Amino acid sequence: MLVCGGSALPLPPGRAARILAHYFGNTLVCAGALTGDDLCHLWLDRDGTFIDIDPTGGHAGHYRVGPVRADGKVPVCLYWDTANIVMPPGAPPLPGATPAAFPGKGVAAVLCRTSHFLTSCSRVDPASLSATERRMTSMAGRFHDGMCYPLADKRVGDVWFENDDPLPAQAGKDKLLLVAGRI
Amino acid sequence: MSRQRSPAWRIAACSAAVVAAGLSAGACAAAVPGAAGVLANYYGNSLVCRNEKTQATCHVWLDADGRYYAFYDLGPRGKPAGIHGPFAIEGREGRYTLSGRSDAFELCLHPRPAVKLGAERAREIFSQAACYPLSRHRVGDQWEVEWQGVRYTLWLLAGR
Repeated sequence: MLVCGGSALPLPPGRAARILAHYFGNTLVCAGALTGDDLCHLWLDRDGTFIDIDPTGGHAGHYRVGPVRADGKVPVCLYWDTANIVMPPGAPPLPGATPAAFPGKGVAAVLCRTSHFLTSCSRVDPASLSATERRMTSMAGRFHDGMCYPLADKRVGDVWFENDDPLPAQAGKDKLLLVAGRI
Repeated sequence: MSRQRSPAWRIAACSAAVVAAGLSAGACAAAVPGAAGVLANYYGNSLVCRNEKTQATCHVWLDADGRYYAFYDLGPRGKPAGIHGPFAIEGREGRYTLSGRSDAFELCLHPRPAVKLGAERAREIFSQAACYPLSRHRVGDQWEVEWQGVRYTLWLLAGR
């Protein structure tokens, strides 16, 4: 598991900064690759912090950038500064919050692991998890511990599909849109 | 809605003083009688709203330095998100001022001019550049307000 120091780091100069340049001040929208549903909006700042917006509200955090990959993408690992989600009592469950069935074992949990700026997730039997691992199967726990996504050199107005979403929902793919301004 | 502004205080003026003098937010609050006490429970926590007609929700963060963030979940939009929307999720940032009395006051939002939000077009509470009625609350409180003819449930919830 990648250990995070807990503080925001300024973006390193060079190629990674150039790849991410058009994300700053704008909004990376992630939508379901299969459904097209609007799932999250990411505001990256140059100072190493971000705000991630999803149906549960905003989530402030910090990010770390890994070395540029051979395919020209830069891995960006997002760490929420909180392990909680603030929702009013009685709020309806989130879309997609219902866990998938685990063959022969009932309901599956999704456990993610990060190593060398790469996050991979898999469906596992909840009974096999330790208390720490169970905490990491919630969305907040997962992002608090860090989730890495490769970002490519894009311009405002670009729409593309990304095959490297570590989460297995939507076939492990995202539809991404780089939208002008912060929305 | 009461527009009475006496005795009045404005956090925006305080924020400018903080920037100019390099003071901490605490020093700022002390320089504006009443302001820190009124909003103290909001700082570091979440003001959450739910439109009782559409079930749209919002989360509002107020910072002691006069900045605010608002996040909206407007619900399914009926067609996939495109580069110009429609978006089910939206966010906005800006600055706020506070005026009125210490028991019932107005939170005046000055969003950073940028993209027109769907939440604005839907006239959701806290989405427009406007002044909104607010009152002193404790974390865990739930209350109701009416904004432009629509009833909202509000919560002040711990954390962000």
